[in-house]
Amino acid sequence: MQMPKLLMLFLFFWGIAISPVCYGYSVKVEEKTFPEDSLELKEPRYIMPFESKNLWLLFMNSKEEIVIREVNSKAKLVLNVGEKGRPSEPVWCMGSDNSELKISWRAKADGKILLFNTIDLKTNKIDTPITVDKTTEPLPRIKLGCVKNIVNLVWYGEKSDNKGRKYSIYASRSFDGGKTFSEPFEVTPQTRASIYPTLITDEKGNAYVFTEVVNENGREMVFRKTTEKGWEEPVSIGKVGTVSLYIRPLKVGNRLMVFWFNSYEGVPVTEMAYSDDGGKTWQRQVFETTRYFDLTGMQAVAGDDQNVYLVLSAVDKSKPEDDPRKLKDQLLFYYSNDGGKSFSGPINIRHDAFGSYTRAHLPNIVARGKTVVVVWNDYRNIRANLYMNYSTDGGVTWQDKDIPLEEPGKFNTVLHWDVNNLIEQQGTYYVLAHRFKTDAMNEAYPVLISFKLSK
Amino acid sequence: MSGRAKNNFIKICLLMILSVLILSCNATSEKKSLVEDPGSPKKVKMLKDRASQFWAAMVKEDLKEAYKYYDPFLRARMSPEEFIEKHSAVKYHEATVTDVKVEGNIGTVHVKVKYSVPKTKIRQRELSIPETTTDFDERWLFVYDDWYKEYYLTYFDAGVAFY
Repeated sequence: MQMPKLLMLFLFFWGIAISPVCYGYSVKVEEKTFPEDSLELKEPRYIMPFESKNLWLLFMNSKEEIVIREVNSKAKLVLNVGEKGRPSEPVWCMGSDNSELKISWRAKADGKILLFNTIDLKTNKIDTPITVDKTTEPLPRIKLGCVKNIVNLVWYGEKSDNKGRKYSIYASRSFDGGKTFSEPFEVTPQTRASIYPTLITDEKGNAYVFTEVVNENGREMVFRKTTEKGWEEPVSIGKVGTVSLYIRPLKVGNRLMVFWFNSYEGVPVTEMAYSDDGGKTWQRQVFETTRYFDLTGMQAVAGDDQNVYLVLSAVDKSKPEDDPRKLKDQLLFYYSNDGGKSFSGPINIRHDAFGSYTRAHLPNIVARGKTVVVVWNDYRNIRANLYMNYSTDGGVTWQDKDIPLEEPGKFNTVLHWDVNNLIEQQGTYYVLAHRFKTDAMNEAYPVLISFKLSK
Repeated sequence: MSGRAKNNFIKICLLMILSVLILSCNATSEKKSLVEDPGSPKKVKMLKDRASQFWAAMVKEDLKEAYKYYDPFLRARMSPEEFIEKHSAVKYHEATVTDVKVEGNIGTVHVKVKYSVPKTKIRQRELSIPETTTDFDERWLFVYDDWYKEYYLTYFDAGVAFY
């Protein structure tokens, strides 16, 4: 054998040997752990991609600090030093110059307040936060979006009216990059209750809000938008059942769409609606194959104007008592290749011969065109592990074997129940989770796992 | 050393390193691969052995030993002392593992036991059960390195492990 060939063979095997995954999977996986940070588990956490290669994490720790941590250097900023009140629900958006981070959160001290701050990640300068609202009694369901100098904030508040406690959705906007905000605007007036705020901010800064409202006519899904001219009248998308937790809005090209999970007299089913005229009229669809599926996770993303993907985790309540699938969550994946007008039937993306005995839930998803990647929490190894599968043909076919993103069975690594924490940056995928220190599962730290798809 | 000999020496060194790397990778895989093993005879035998050892400890009233066989989620939450205090009421006189079934990391163990409950007071009520023979299925879990008996309270229809 010639030396160069031998050397190439050696280097080839060396490449396999040092790969962290040594179990017959070809995807290279790396992880970065932050054991110095003890996470507040109920609170959301995020990966924030800034500039081309720089990643930051945003989370709350057990000391009630809102922490911004740079991934590579592990540099740490604490947002709420000296601030009174217990913080919750931090949300973020990227400012106009790509190094400006805007964060809003709710704090509870003597009263409930909604705060906002801007951080320059080049200088790490943190100003005194602005109080956006202290009149609507904001609760920890906050949505934030920003484009150029426009900042949109939508939240859930419980301000009393003359009939007593009232739950409603409020909004405030800034047109100077977050230096000043408008007075809170009630997005869902004349309703008895409205509890799940959602927000899309488009490239012009227009805000689109979808929410379930309860009024004298029953329950409806309502859409409302604001442009530079102000808020337009609310539009009813139609009657709905009782909505629980998940409302996922998307804007795909000029098409607006919204997916929601609800139940009619205790029978759960997932539905969606889309509009091609800016929200004036809506076409509704029921995902009939989700009837009796009680959802534990829902994410919807667009790969481009044509390819839209929906992934769910759910337990099948139609199964008989002795069927383990009545208790164990499974994954359901749907794709659309006509921009969300129609969807495929459910596609099985998990490959585990004994999957009916163990849970798969909390799917996270990211897509670019016809390449779609899903990471989920899988309990096939009894401990909670992260598994991944991907499709390169728009979700039609998937890899035969699911790919573990960590050593199978060694740790308990868990995704957030709500936040989609899977991103792609220059061909590398990053997923943020928390890893428990012990099997008591009461204390956890952030772990950022990265991988590339094999060619 | 001549050029040819030097070349051969480098080849031998590279091959040795390569062999060590491949072997170490295989060894790691072999050591940890049982969690991904759907149910080989080795994994089945491990379960039968572990379940038999557990029940032998129960018959010997060695609850400290039996505790070690319970799933790590229980052991992370309950000390051996607390476990012994809570689980010493039932006396097992005989126990035989009659069958095992493995489906991935889920094991089903069929056990035949003879047990009794000596006079004991539970919530002001005196209770005792004479020697009784019964058989049942119990669930075992393969957690990373070995089989563990799932701690499951049938009365409450709840376990500690979430999977």
